[in-house]
Amino acid sequence: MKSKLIFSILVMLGIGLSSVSALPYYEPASLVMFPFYTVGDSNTNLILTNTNNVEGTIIRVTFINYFDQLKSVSCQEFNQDFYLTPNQQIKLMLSDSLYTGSTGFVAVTAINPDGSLKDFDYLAGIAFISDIQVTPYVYDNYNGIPFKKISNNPEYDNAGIIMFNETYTALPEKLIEDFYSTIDPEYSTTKFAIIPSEDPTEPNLPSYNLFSFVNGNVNMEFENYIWDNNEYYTSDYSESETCGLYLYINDIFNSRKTNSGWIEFTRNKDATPGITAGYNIGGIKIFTDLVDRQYLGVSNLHREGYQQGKLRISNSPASPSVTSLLSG
Amino acid sequence: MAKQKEVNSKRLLALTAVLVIFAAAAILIVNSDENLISGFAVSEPASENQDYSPEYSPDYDPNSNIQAGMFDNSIPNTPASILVYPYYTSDASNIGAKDTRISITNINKNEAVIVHFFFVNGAENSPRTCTVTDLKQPLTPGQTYSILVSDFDSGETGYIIAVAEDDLGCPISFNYLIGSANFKNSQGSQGEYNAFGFKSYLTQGTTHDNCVDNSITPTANLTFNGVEYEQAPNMLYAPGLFNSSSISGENSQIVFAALKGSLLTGMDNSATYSALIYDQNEQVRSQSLPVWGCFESVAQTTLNPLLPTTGPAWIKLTAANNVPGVGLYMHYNSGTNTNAFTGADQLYGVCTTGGCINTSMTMPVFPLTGN
Repeated sequence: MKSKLIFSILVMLGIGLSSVSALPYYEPASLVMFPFYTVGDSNTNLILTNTNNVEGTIIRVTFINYFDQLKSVSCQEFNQDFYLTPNQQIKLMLSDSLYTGSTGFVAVTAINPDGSLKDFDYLAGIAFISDIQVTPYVYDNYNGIPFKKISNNPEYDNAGIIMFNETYTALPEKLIEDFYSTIDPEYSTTKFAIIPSEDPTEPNLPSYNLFSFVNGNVNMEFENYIWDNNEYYTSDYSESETCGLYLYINDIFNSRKTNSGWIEFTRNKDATPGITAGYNIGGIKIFTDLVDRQYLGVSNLHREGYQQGKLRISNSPASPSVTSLLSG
Repeated sequence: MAKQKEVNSKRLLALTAVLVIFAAAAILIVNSDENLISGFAVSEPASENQDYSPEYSPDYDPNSNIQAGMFDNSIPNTPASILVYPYYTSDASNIGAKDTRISITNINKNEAVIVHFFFVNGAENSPRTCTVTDLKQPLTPGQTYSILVSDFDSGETGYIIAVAEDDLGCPISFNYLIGSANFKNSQGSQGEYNAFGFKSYLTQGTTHDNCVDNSITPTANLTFNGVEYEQAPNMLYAPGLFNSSSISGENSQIVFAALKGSLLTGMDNSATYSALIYDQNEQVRSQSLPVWGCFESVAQTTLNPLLPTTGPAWIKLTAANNVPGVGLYMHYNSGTNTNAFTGADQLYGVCTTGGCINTSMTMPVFPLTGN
């Protein structure tokens, strides 16, 4: 009703929907999320750009491990700060700074010198992936997922809390993607890597922030609904993970041969103990195919709907080496 | 006179009351917990009979995005009524090395739709022909459909526009289509990208351009103006390009596809863009580009002289004559550097001062049986 009332007021004031603009394009933003990185023989190259031609900014690049093979731990967090001058672009080969064998996701945020979150919708980012965990090896790049800053709230910004749908643009309600796969992963497969958020409307659930992931005590359940090319519906395939989901489509189709279709990822929203509610931030598909024409590729998952969610990054002051560039 | 005064007084009082109520309503709206700034009030119903509270997970109503879109220009990869695949290629004599697989999915679990594919030929004639070949494909609820381009438009290179339409061939609002493409080309580039999706602002099922059928409206306009379909930007960014002489050894390529013209007689062939190129040291240089036409694949040989050898660079492309488009940036490794990365993804798009670009395309209207 409210939207109708707003619309009526806009019409009364002579402001039609023609003033509305929404672009189905990637746009620069204050937060750029990369759902997947890998380091080692497989590797990742991030390219981050400040598209503002007059103002520089500090950025905080936060890495969250799904799993670190060398250290045999998961859900660890590590961050680095950089200063980007106007129009500057930097390239980060992750093998230069992360352990071989680590895999996870990356959050790139614009921050102020005191570590608080900054409204700076000028960050663009892409990730190049080489993944030799699959055969044939996959080489492709994907754009980081942009989240714009839509309001400032010191309570959240100073604490490093990203409030999707409140201080940043919204999360999707669902992630959806087509896939192409056969039962035998030696011939073709599709992998999905998905990152979750926490639901701020469920205060009784475990802590939402990334630091809780360090303890590995947050279980998250994903419910996946799958339609194949005959519109066959597979219900309620669930997967529990800690700080991210890493899923082979072949693991789902373990008893039935199929070759294409689409999949829908939703977070389990039942507020049962030990299972967090919340929504997915985003994800990517990694695809390889030896059977057909040997296509390979990595792409962001499609998204639908709008939801809120929460994510926290470190709010410590920016590194002195970076802030010194500001005064210099 | 006293009576007239009393009437005037009552009128003034009534007018004041109306203004107070109006102001109070406005304050209530602005101060509501579902505030305007957040834009995506999750409990905001988009229609009378649907609930969008977080606890209820309905089948997606993409039209609810539109209102939200007022505050979020950053929503790539969402279901839409028109999909644009900026690049396809194939070689009939060597489909193992050069081909494209297009996928499209109807994520509506209850309603079928017909998709009208238009393959725009970007062959580098002088001038480009920009001619169009088409294909219709019904999609049942939940269906995924894939096609190898070599099976339909073999030996050609260009881009594809897929339009949701009804049984009579009229374009309709049906924001439930997603798509992706895998390609391999003769330069050695390969990768996967998502199609650009342009949502309709009309009520689901409504035809665009008052289309009725081909006896009354043999053509229909697809208008990207923020009222019928989403607009297009006047600036595109290629966020990471490499000189092939740089240490990482990648080769880069940009592909552009115009969103203007006729899907019946040929697409507009006049797109003109200017470029600003920024290197890692923030050195900027401007570059006039030749007329791109309806489709352009800017090869490494053209880009190399513009790009620094010291590292990546990025490019701003500004539409000079209001012909907007979509595009990809691509990379491939033609050398022996095993550290070189390859791949492709969508160009960024932004509306700078002056706003987004309104554009339109004309499409033929005919029923599926006339395919």
